Parts: sequence; structure tokens; C-alpha cells
Amino acid sequence: MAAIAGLGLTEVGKVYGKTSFEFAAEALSLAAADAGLATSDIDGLLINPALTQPALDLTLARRLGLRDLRLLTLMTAYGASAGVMVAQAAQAVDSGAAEAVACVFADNPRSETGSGADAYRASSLQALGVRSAESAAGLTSTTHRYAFAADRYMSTFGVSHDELGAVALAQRQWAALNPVAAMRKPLTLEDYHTSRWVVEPLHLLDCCLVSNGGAAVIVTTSERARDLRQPAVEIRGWGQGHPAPPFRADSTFGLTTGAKPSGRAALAMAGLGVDDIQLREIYDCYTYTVLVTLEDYGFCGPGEAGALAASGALAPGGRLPTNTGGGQLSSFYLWGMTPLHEAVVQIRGQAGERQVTDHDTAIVSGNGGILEHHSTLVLASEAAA
Amino acid sequence: MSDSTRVPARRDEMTGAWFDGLLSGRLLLRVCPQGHSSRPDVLACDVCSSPDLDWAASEGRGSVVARAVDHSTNPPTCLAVVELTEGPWLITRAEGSDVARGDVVVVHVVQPDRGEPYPVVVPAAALSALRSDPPGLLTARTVCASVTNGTPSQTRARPDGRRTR
Repeated sequence: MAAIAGLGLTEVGKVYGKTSFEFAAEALSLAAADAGLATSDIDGLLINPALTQPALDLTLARRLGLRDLRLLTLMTAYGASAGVMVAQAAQAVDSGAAEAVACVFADNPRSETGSGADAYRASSLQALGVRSAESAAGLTSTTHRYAFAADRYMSTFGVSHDELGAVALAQRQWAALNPVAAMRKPLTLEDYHTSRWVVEPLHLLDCCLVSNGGAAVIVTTSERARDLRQPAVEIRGWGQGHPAPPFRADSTFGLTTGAKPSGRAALAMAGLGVDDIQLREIYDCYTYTVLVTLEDYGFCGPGEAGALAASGALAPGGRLPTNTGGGQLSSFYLWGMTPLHEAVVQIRGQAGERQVTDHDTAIVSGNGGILEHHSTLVLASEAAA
Repeated sequence: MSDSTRVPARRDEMTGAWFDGLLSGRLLLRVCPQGHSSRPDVLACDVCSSPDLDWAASEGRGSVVARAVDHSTNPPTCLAVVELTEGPWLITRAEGSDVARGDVVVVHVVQPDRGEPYPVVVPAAALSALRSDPPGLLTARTVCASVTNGTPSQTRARPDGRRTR
């Protein structure tokens, strides 16, 4: 079995004056030191380039002085990348193709002058063909498309803004306990309702942050991880789902996602049921994706997660602790590294004030594109059954 | 955001026929030998996966599946996912009035000053308030007039051109 032995997170958020390469180098060196490894011990490197240009590329290895790697590649499934990389790293160490594989993501979409959201418009603006006609009509950002998904989900299941707001509030409660989190001021439902519309039905407080920074993990065998500095976080299961529902009549767009098949596969591989999972670290680019992912994983039925959130189940002290560091909504946004980072910290028991009492098992989701690509990891402590 | 600040639509190798269709006032879809319609950017039929695709004109009507409103523009821009009567979804701006899920809408073609034409939708109810003729696709030129004479092209624009089909 493979395990996560090292975790590195740079200063994150409104951090200016560094390239993605510098963030990646810092994250990797922090992850190696965290594990008690020298960077020369790393023999595999998986790199997830972001969309901001210039993005990370294969020259990272040479520029870091990583020599004679046995595994090196760029990987992307957008927001699902972290889970896809860790699964690939686990397979590499299981097969003996490499022994210590670093997985890294870094991005610097924010500039001191522009808004964070501008960085994510670039791909729409470079579009050709049908996509460019959609951009010309006004669909210039990812948020427009998630707004459609949220609208369809809310109107189909009768989910209210109070319920979406409950996700934002619960995560802000967790963030208040997390020294790394960017947004720690307590929120009220009134704050949520009065926050400006970005793209209706999404308020500002339904949308994730945009952050500069880097994060890395080091994956090795469980045996070796046991001898290293940190408690081993075992990679018990993984799965992917790429449902690509056609954009036509009878599409399931917005109502269910690839989290369903990827969660089922990851839990089956781990030999665990959904009731065995103590921590939920869910990709939360929008409040809505937390709800639909909880449903797809089976923590409740279709359309029921809004009521679950409103009941306080996801918040500190709740029955189903979810996004326990504040998530992408309130802590920081480094794609799938945000939920992965929090799962590792919690399973190790290093979450300080926000530490969840039962923290032996976690499910970690990734969601890329417009609900197009999903990854799931099931992580566990050595002690977990 | 007005049309002049939006990035223009641009054709690529596989969408020349689609943009030419818009220029002549028709919204083209891909259609397979079995008669299934798919969105114009597919490489295989959405229903049966056939790679043998031809172009066929949509009748240009549909109903709203999902709605979103971009409040960063002035006035706000109403956006819609529209299920065309042939089945495929059209994702674009709704003009003329706000829309709700289930509303019947009609496709219009906008020819902006810069770039290729692109389809928008207008609620059938807003259209029939304007005239008694049954609605249909408007020519690019007609809608162009409403854009270039300074009328904001978002939710309060009222296309009033002549019908071509």
C-alpha cells in the first residue's frame, strides 16, 4: 500500500511577486522536509499545471535539480488533478516504478491590480468556434456555467438559497479555527443574502476564493512512510468519473456528477462504506458543488444535502464534519490540493483548534471543468480498520 | 459589458459551415444518418455515436432549461440553456425580457460590428407582443441594426426586424 508521507503548503492567498515555479519549488521543499526526506530522495515527480500562463512545465524538474527521476510527467484533469496525481503516484510506488513520488500544484492567478476572477476568463477569451460564439453572447467565465448547473439543481430539487448559504456559513465556522484561512470573520445568513450576485443564482459568498500559492505531497510505500517523520496517511482507495452528459434533452447536467462513480470505486477499493467515513473534504468551487457531491457520495439522497447543511451537520460539532479547514470558499483555493491538504492534516491529528475527534478516515473529492471530471481518494490513518 | 467590449466570435476549421449558416439566418445542428441532432461542436452523434455527421437547420425554437443572470454588466445579462425542439441544448444570451424555466424562446442571430455572428434567444411571449406574425429566425442584418444603433443588447433590447422564414 502507498501512503502520503510529506505535505508542503506555501504562504497562500494574496501573495505577490512569485512565479508558479517558485511556489512549486517552495512547496516541494517543504513537503520533503516535512517527511524528513532530502529532495534528492525524490525519484518521481507529477506536475499539475494551472491555467495561468506561464504554467508549470517539465523544466521544473531540471530547475529544481531533481536528477535521474524515474517518473516525470505533466498531468491535468483540472480540479480533479490532485486526486488523479495521488492515485498515479500510489500505483507507481505499489509497482516499484518509483519510491518517493512528489505531486505538485502551483498557481499565481491573482495580480495586485486585477480581480482574481479575471485570471479565469482567459480560456473563454481564447476560444474559437462554437465556444467563442458563447463567449461573444456573454458566457465568458466558468461561473456562468456553474450558475446554470446550480439553477437546474435548485429548481429541480427545490433547494433554497438559505441552504446554499448554510454551506458558506458552516465552512466559515471551520475557517475561523484555521490560522491558514484567508476569511475568518464569522458570517450570518443575512451577510450571505446581501452579498452581491456574481452570476445569479450564485452570490459572491457561493463562490470560492482565488489564491496564489503552491502545495505538494510526497507519496511513498506505507512501509517506508512508517519510518519517516510524520504519521503515515494511507491511500486506501481511488477512483475517477468522467460522465460527460451530452448537452441535450434528458441530460443529467447539474443534478448528479462524476463523484458518484468515482466515489463508489474509491470506497470499494478501500473496502469501506460511506458510514465508515469520518471526514469529508469536498471540492467546493461553489457552495452548490458541496451539496451535489455529498449526495453523489451517498451521505444523503438526491436533493437532500441542502437540508443536511441547514441542520448544521457539516459545521463544527455537527454529525458530518465537512470541509474542516474552511475549504476553497473561506480558506484558500489551490484546486484539489485544498481538500487534500486538509484531509492529511486532520488524519495526522495536526489540525489544532479545528481538529475533529474521530479522524481516521477521509473522503477527498476533486471536480474539474464544469462538473466534467471527478476524482476521489479514500485516505486513512494506519490505525483505521 | 456591451458587444463592443466582448471578445468576438471566431470560426475555426470545423465551424465554417455553422457560421455561414448563421450569416444566412439559419442555426445549423449536426445530424447523423439516423436523424439524431447534436450540438454543432460534436465529433460524434450524442445519441448513437455515429461519426457520420451532416449539417441540418434547426427550426429555431426551444424552451428554457436553466437560467443565469450576470450582474457584472449594466444592465444585467440574462443567460439561458435552451433545449431546442430537435433536442440539443443551445447556451446563449436571452434578449427582450427575462426568462424563466420552461419559457418558449425563439432563436435570433446577432451580427456584431466585430467577429462572426452568433445566436441569441428571445422569449416567444416578448416577440408576439411586438407583432402578430408567427416568430422565426431573423436575418443577421436586421438584428445588426438594433445592435449598432446603440441599443444595449442585453435584457432590455427589443429586436423588431422582419421575419425571413
